[in-house]
Amino acid sequence: MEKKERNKWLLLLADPVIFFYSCSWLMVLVIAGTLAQRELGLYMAQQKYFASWFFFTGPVPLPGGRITMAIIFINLVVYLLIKSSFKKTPGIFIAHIGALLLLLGGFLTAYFSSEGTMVIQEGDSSQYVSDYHSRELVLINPSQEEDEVTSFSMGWLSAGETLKHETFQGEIKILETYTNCDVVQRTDSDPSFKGFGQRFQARELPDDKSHERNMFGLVMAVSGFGDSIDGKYLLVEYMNEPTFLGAAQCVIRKERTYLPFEIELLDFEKKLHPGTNMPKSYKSVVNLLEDGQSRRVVIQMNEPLRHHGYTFFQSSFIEGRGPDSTVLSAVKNYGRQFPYISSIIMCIGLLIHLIQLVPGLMKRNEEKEG
Amino acid sequence: MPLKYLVPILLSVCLASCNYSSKDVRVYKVKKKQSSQVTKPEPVSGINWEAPESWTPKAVSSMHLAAFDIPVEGGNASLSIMTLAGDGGGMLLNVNRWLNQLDLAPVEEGALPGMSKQIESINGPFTVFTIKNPTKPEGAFNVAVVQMAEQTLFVKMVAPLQEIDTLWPVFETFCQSIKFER
Repeated sequence: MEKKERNKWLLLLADPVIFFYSCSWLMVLVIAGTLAQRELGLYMAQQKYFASWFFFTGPVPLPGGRITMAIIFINLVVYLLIKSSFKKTPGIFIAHIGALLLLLGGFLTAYFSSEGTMVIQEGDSSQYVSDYHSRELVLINPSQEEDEVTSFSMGWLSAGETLKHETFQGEIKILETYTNCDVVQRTDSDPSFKGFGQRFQARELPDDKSHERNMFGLVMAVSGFGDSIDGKYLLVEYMNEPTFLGAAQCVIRKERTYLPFEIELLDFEKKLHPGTNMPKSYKSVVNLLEDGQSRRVVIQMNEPLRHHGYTFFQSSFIEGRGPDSTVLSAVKNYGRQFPYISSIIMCIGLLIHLIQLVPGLMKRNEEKEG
Repeated sequence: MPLKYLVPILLSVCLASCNYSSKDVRVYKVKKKQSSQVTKPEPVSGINWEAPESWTPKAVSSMHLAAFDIPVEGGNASLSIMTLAGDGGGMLLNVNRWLNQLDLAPVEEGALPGMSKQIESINGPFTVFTIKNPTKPEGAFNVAVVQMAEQTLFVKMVAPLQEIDTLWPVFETFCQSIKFER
């Protein structure tokens, strides 16, 4: 009886109807997400419809892209194991494996990929990638040759969180956060504020459609660092006035990932369409520096640099009165190969299935003609 | 793998990833050159000036390129030179900061042209503000701002209210003596 009950549940999970309705719902999400980009911008629409488990339309919660794909994944696995037969329908079996790999690649991309930018001025070099969206709060302890950086990731940067670590004394409590803000002259007088926050306050702004343009800010209460340091501080991205907690500098910035190699920009070239200011092509001539070795590489449109799992694309540039700077998009995606591999596997599976059907179709055709 | 284990495992993976959190603390070391790119203004090479002999150079913090004590009657005067990355936060933000230091009300962007004047120099025009509060006789400012290639240069003179206008010619001469590579 127990086994029968279990089989009943498994058969329910393997029901192709689940797959049909889930895929239909995914199509609805794709349309809704595409239309919402106009209102919310690309990143927020992607987060709301595709990277969420549930989202709200008014007071109504609806399943997001992640739970829909998780349901499809479970449905395919159970179907593959209890209903599909390699001996009877090898093509369908292989196509299912391909589809599962595609979903697995999506999972790896969603949870383990990173995207950011690397900005390098001509003649200068860089060893880190700044994330497009995540911020970090860092305490930088300087020393003669190298600085020790303690970084708290985005998950810590919400009101009520308390930040402590063995690398510094005392604690930092996050009081307020602003996903997008600007800085205005302080209208009230709050003696508990120190440094920049004594004169300025953050003014909350609606999120920018281009999420990377948002200026993140926070108010934090510092204690245990000493009477002259303890108090409230305002930290905002790109602020010019440094905030020191004792010897350590405290900064809010886009989350950095340091690389085991360095990229030096030798030359940046920009070609314009004749008679216009429209760029035709950009090209960065760089030196890839690693373990004392140097390799000259050209990064340009359709010719990215791939190294240590990172792909560096020529993305943009900054022109000023000084030397030009190149802006490279850096992507690390563990699921990068999955769409190619799974597409090939699905094609092979469908081809085998069609070949398997051909004798039956020919026989049926002969019967009709006969 | 028996099916009785597989389905609960898949469900657990889904539920565990619901609770996915990006709460990390990383500690790493960075070579000095990279850390200097954080926010501290970098020292400017190729910049020089001519200060009057009567001015006494004094120790400066890492924020400043140089500072001088200036002898005046009836109090202390000083001058400091500093650079900030980019536009240094913008003209309005800085002017309002100086106004606040003298307990004066902030101004709107449109008021800036009326408050400022220009000093011509070999490197182009400096935008100059004289900020005074009659109720604060102990200090008033002459401040000059000029945009360099990647940074903004600030020259700030602090002097007693009654001396600030007297010191204007020497401040103007000092600003005109500053030379840097654009």
